[in-house]
Amino acid sequence: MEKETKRSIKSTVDWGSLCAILKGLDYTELNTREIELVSRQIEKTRIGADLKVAFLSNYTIDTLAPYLRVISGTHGIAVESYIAPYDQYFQELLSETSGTITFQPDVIHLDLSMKVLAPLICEKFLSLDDALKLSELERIVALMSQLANLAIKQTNAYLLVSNFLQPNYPQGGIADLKQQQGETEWYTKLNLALIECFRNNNRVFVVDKNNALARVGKENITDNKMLYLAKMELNDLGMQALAGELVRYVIAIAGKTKKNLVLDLDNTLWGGIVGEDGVDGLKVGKGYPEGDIFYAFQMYIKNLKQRGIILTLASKNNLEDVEEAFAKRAEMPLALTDFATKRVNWNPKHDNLVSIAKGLGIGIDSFVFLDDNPVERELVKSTLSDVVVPELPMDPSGYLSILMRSPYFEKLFLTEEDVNKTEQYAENALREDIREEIGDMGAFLSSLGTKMTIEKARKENIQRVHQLFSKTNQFNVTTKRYSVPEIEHFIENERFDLFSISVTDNFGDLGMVGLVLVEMKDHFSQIDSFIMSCRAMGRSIETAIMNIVKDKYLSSGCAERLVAEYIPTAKNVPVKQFFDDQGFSLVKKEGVPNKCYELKSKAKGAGLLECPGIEIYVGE
Amino acid sequence: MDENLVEIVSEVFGVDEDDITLETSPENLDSWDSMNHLKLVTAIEEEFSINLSMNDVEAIVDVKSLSDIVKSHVK
Repeated sequence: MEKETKRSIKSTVDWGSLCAILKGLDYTELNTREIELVSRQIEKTRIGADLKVAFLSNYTIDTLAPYLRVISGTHGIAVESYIAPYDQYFQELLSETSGTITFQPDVIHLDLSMKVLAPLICEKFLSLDDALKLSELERIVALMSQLANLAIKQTNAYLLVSNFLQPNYPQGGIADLKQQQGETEWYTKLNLALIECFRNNNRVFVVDKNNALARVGKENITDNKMLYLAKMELNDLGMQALAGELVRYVIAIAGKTKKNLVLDLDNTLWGGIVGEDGVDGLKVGKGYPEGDIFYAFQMYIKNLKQRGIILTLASKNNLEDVEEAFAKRAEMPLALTDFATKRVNWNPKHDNLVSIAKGLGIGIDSFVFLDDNPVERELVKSTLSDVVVPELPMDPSGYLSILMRSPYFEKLFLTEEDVNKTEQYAENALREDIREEIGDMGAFLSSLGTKMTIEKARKENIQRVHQLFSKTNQFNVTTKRYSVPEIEHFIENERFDLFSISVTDNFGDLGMVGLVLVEMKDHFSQIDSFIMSCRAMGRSIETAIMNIVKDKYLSSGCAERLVAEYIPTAKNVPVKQFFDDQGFSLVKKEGVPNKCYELKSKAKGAGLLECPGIEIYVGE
Repeated sequence: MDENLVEIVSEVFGVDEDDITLETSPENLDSWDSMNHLKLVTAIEEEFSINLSMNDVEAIVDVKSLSDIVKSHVK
């Protein structure tokens, strides 16, 4: 670390300015003392925590916490940690008063060493009979499952379970792979059993520690001296690699996953400059070295799209050249239709990024910008500090590794919605075009042919519901973020009604786009959350939803009074007037920035409002 | 005393450089616990590109002994 950077880190007094410095840091280049220094500064400056992480282990794992804290800090996430006493994981989860339970973690990381868990396996594998090997495997899976159940019962946390490290050298040597029930086979089966055991559990996630550590080289991750002195199975490199893997989960859980990848074209997605080298001169496609590089890079980006990442273009070019390139060079994995929207012009890139954000209706802080040109990168970085701008190497063969290593696009689950996301945003862009053509709002709305379904949220959709709660920023009146267990509670508990809203129209299926959470209290019903994805905004769907809410909660038999709240954030300005527009009356409360509303059944505002051009289906 | 050594000790234990003397030890510095002791060893090994033995690690009982051990390796 540069002396200058070190000094400025030491002198920061607030979390915001520390984050700004950390954002540009490559954590893999920090040594032990620098990690300590940064970690301590984070502890000093952070106010509260975005995530509380508890570490449970049967080996010395203390040095993992500073690594996770620092790496999370480089992503702007404040992590508070708790390290359970050595080898006390069971007691810590069992006892109501343990450090782990009273810490009230958002995330529990359970990482067990085979050495302590099953010494027989580690020491005498060759002399064990098959029945014993099998019973040991079953015992371990049962234990992990029992621990997971305890964690679920005792906390609201997500549980991250590390899988087991395959030994670097099996006791039977190369012949192990010829053995019935060999050691390699045993570990593979165990790790597979963990995946199967937790696959359908929405709160438990297997962490592929074995793979994460293999990436940095499993012969380099243990310092034998420290192992024997302090039961420290992983050295700093090992801890760094493990924390680097955990941060992928942290990003997803903290809702910091990026949504949009903005791409440059010339020398980024293909070799050469289309305006100079011509369409036929571009290097991309299989069979020759430079072509292969860009083919592989495009293929990976195409797969990101499958993961639900929106792809967009920002390129300084003539549009005709670009259209011709995509039309003629069909061997490219990416097609022009893979991009939800394009800005191919000669405007400054940062202007184009702002315009893309507006067009897609998503925040610019969910953008990653890839460009081979360091000047463009610098310009975007300096004008739009919220955009992530990875450094690309001079040699394009290094692009792919940069993108693969970056944790920005991690999600806990892949849903149907994700696979179709670009189509949905592209449909939206198309709808925008038609709105401009038609001009008249009423005619435009009825030309869409909107069909809306409102129904009670179901458990099988919980992943999408969770996504809406955690990611919607603009049309979100209270911006309350709920975890999966909390959402499960809303679905099960009779005191709550959680509605999901799905929309289709003539242009396509928008999927689940909205949520309303109503809590029934003794004398009134409270609208706890009212959320709509921005791609459904601007066609009075919110009014159609509110009509149904009014109808249900203001009718006789119910409490006859609805209460609602607007909690202002930097992003939810679009719904500032929402309750006023829907006929609610403002209730003055002194000294509170939040706006409180109520609506009585007899009030004038309780009448239903018009929402033309929407067909409504009310499900169970 | 080696300035670099003082800086490392101060960073690992999170105390001012002025508070570090040859007599500083686990007895008189709260943050010098067993975990930070190991971090100190790692930081020293990184900084001076040396490899301390297990005996060395156990022989570090204060800054003075640390300094002596580092000197014996760096020569």
